[in-house]
Amino acid sequence: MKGDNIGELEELVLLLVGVLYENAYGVSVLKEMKEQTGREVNISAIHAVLNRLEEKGLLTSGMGGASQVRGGRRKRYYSLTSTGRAVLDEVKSMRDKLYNQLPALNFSA
Amino acid sequence: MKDFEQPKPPRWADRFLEWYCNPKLLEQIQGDVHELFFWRLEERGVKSAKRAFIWDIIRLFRWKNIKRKSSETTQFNNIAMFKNYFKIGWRNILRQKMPSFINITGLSCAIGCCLVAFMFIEPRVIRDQFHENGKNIYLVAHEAFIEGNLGKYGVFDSSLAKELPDKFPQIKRRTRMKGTQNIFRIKDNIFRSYVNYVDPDFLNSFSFPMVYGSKDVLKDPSKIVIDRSAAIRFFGDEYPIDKLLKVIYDEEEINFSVGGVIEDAPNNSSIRPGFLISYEVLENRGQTAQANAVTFIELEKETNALELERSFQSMVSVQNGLKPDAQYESIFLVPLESMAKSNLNGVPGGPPPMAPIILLISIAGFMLLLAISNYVNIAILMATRRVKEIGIRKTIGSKRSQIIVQFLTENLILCALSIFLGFVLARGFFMPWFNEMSGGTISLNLFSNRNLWLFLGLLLLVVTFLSGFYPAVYISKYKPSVIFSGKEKLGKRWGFSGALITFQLVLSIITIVGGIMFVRTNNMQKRIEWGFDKEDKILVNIPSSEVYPELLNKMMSLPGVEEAVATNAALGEAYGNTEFYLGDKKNRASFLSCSAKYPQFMGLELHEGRFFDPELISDSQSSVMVNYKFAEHYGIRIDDLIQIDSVFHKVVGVLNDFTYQGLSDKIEPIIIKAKPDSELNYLTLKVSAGTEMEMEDKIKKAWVDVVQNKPYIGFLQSRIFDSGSEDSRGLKNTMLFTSTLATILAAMGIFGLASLSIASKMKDIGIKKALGANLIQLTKSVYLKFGIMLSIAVVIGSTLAVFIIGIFLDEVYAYHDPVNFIPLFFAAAILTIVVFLTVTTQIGKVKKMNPAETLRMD
Repeated sequence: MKGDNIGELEELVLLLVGVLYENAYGVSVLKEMKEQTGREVNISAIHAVLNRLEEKGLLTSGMGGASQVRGGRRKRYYSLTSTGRAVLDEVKSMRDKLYNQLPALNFSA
Repeated sequence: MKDFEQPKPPRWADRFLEWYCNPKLLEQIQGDVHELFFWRLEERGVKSAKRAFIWDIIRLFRWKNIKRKSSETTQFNNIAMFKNYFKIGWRNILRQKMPSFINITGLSCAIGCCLVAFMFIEPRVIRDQFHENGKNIYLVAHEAFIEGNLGKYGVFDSSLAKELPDKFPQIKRRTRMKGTQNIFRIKDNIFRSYVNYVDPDFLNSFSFPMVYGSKDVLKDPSKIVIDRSAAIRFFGDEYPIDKLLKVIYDEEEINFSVGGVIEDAPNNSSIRPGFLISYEVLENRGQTAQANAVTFIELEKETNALELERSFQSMVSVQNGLKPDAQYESIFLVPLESMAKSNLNGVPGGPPPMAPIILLISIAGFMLLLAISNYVNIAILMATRRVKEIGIRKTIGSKRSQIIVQFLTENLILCALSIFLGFVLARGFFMPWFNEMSGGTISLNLFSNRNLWLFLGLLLLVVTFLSGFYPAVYISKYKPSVIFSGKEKLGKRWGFSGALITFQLVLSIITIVGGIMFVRTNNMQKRIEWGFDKEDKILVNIPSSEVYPELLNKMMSLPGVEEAVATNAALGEAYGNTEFYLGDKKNRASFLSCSAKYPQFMGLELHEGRFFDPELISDSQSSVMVNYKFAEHYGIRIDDLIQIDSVFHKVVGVLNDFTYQGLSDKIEPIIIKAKPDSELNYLTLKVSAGTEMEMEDKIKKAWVDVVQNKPYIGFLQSRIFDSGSEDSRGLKNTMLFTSTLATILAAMGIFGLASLSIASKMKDIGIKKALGANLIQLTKSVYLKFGIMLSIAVVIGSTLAVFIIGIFLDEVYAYHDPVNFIPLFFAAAILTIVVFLTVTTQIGKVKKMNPAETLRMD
């Protein structure tokens, strides 16, 4: 099923959209990613991931917030859907579960 | 703006984005890249920001973002849409019966003409493409200096050609071909025919299908292969194989038995087999003097012809060593399929006849232009009745391009219908007429001709587009608001329609003038004085000087034969040609040698001087007569001397000009020289007045009695120009047909235009009529409009006709009446009557109309 599994970049973007809350659009996601993780991704990749996530139903979007620096063009704001949130939770819990099963540090092997 | 100095993102990249990007995504994407640009501008500077901007836009050029016309769903709708267009188009054709009828008739006539032209031209231009192995067959040709000029010759030394397959393993088959005139005897029938001597592989290399017999039959030198029409001509329904044919070589008669029958060569074949005999026969008869033959080689598949051609050069030195009198410069190969275009000396077939091709193309083009102009005119008027439909379509959301496509689709139906009808018309009427006129044998066979299909397809596209594009663009232009407010009078485009009608009238004036001029010239030729006495004279050939006395005696002993005089060629036939010197100047002129009695006997008239005197020996040795043209052209007087073959000849008489060679040819200078009768080719027999027909048979019988092994050639002097006048009659008929069709098409155009324009004004007319206007007042404007168009057309058309038809007549006839006032007047009168009648039939509607009816409508 769509949305059951998401990739690493998808997870990151999904998290960032959640973090940015009401100010998540292409450029802000890109900037936030650079600041928080140091990763520089091309804007086209961000758009592609955002679109894919929306298709999977993890994000919703709406137009708004024109600004002068954009030449009066509106932004497409994204926000997490409940499914999106659920997927993030699931990913996190799965990770935690697996992480907790790691044996204690042992460098002898 | 306050930030006037602020740098902007590169405009071209921005435009590129706007161009490719899906409009739904454009706003956000463009906004994002702009925002990024300004952010980077602060962080990293102008150059870097610009570079990054461009890079972003290139990266964004991906499938998801690119604008696409049709997704799956809209494609689905397209099919339904076209179905709908077809349905509406079909209903429109049915509803507007009269205009549709005019359009379809016009177009199908024009397409019929095009098809005839195509079928005539295609096999003459596209030649030799039908051989199965054609791609591997090459002609071996050479370059040589002859009389100091380097020329290309399509023949090859026949003994070298014989060894080709042994020397070069790439050559699969080789066939030489040499044509000669031979005399045949089948039972009692002796005739002359062209024979091709070929190597046995001829039938294997070339694709001339066998009707009877095997393809290897020519390995036997006692066999002959004939084509189907010859088989039917000689043997009728009998089975032709093993029937005997005799070929008479000099005094020897050799029997050949029919070993095979091939299909007649198609029209587009340069090689015309006719009769085939093994090349061995020719070699055995020791034809070493004529050592060249047309040589074809068939290469093994995948052979590089260029390489082979290079290795052929080694034969140049061999040839030059063996034949010092026929030195080659180089040897080259010509592919069979392009042989006809190569224009080499000695190659079968030649360049296509340009005059009839140009004539036919012009006629077909004329017709197509006329029909398309009709179509455009009527289509615009028809479409103006449908503006409401267009308005609604546009309001619902049709784009202009969609409406254009709709109209073109409807047009496609009509054109496809016309092409079908045109095909039927061409097959049923035009083709047989044309064949009768031109003596041709073209036929329309859909299944065997791929080019015909291509042509039909192309014609459909071209006609659909040419005829439909302007009306579609014109009618789709209107905005719904304009249509529904009724502010603009639609269809009031007299300028354009008028110009088209005038153009049609101009074309038909030209063709009518052409028709009239050809009829007149044809009639003039019938009345032309030949300048000699043609009646009651029969010519028979003199096969050799030995039989001459016996032949003469036999002929003179026939009751009804009054006189017999010999000549080398009949007056009006192809004469010989000679060089002569006037002082030191070399000239050429036609040359006729004949008996001393001949000029007087033929009733040629003396301009000055005297006829030959048969009693004077000097007259048959060193005297000549010339025609007036000669005397005038070279300034010759009686007793002047002309040097022919280093002998001085005295001009004893100047003859009045007589028709020299064909009625449509110019009279040229000619020299007539007396010779003893026995050295000449033909005996002219004068028979009792009015007995030409019955005497011809008797003379032939008597001739065959005397001469046993030569073919009889006999003809009537009075028929000498028949073939020429047949050509000219054919041309006349073609012109008449063209002008009639052109006039009919123009008349139909006027009819359609008049009726539609009156129909669109019915309401106006109704009101005027109700208020008491009479018929003249109502219709004056219509007559006036057509009158103006006609006048303009007459002026332009007459000028062009004088020019074009003048050139055309000059091309065909040496003597013709000038294109003067009379044909122009007739053409104008004919057109005026046609225009008047056509418009009047439409005015009839106005006369009968009850104003109440039209005013009550909608």
